[in-house]
Amino acid sequence: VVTVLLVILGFFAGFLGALTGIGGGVLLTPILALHFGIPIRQAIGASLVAVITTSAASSSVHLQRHTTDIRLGMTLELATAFGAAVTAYLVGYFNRNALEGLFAGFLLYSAITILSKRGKVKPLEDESVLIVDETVIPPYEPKRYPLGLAASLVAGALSGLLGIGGGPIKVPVMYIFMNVPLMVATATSNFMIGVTAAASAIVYYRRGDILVQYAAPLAVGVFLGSLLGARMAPRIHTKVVVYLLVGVMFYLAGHLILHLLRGWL
Amino acid sequence: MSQVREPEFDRIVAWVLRIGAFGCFFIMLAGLIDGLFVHGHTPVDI
Repeated sequence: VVTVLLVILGFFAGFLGALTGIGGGVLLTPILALHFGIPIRQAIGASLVAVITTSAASSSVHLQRHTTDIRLGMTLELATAFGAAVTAYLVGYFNRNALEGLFAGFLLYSAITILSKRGKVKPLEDESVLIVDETVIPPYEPKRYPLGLAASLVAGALSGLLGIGGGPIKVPVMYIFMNVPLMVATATSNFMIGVTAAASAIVYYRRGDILVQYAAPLAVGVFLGSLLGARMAPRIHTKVVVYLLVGVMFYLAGHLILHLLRGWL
Repeated sequence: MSQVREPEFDRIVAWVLRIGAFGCFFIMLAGLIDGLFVHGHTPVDI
């Protein structure tokens, strides 16, 4: 029964992750740990496998549609990988509660800002829409690269500490601060999170925290869900994606705040 | 301009990712079938 539930959970996480670009690891880790009673490190290990699967499956679809900005993704990924590597060595010096509080605050701020934008991107003047293989890419030019790189560094650091792919930071930063359209931000984030998660997964695998009985059913469900999510993405209105993304961000912020409050009380 | 794409490069990266994703899927599916239908301990070390 647990195996079947894990396949179903993986399917929904993959579907949501592929649509919103968050990967699904941030949803899976708490659910696996709290509702399935899986030890936290093994829950993170299984989630990382799920994130890699989501990234590979959905990115292959997004790339064929040319919505992924590989150049932007690889630039930001450099900072993410550096952040993850530094955190792996300095993990003992960080105050986890302070980081969780900052993360929750960032999620709340981003969710409210995204809600106020509601999928609108200010188009550049005198710029035509680019059409590649029948895919319409709205005109945009990424701005504030230093801010994007700094945020990616933090995303990498949090990835190592909290066992996430960094998608919930990358998507809002690209969308709100770097002026990247939501469809490009989610596709590029999907492409990036796999690389980040793969780096962390190697550490977890070497420690023996990736168990096949949890990772296998999750990965099977996630693969099918993320393929479906990526294929349905162009047919789903941006506003729906915005509300899904905001919903996930509020859920995560609430979860982190509750976790912090439980620690204090 | 970041908006500009290289369709051929995108296609090649997509193929590499697709091969990886399907490879991962079939390996995990084998693990799932093993877990559901094969009883007793199965060594998973490569």
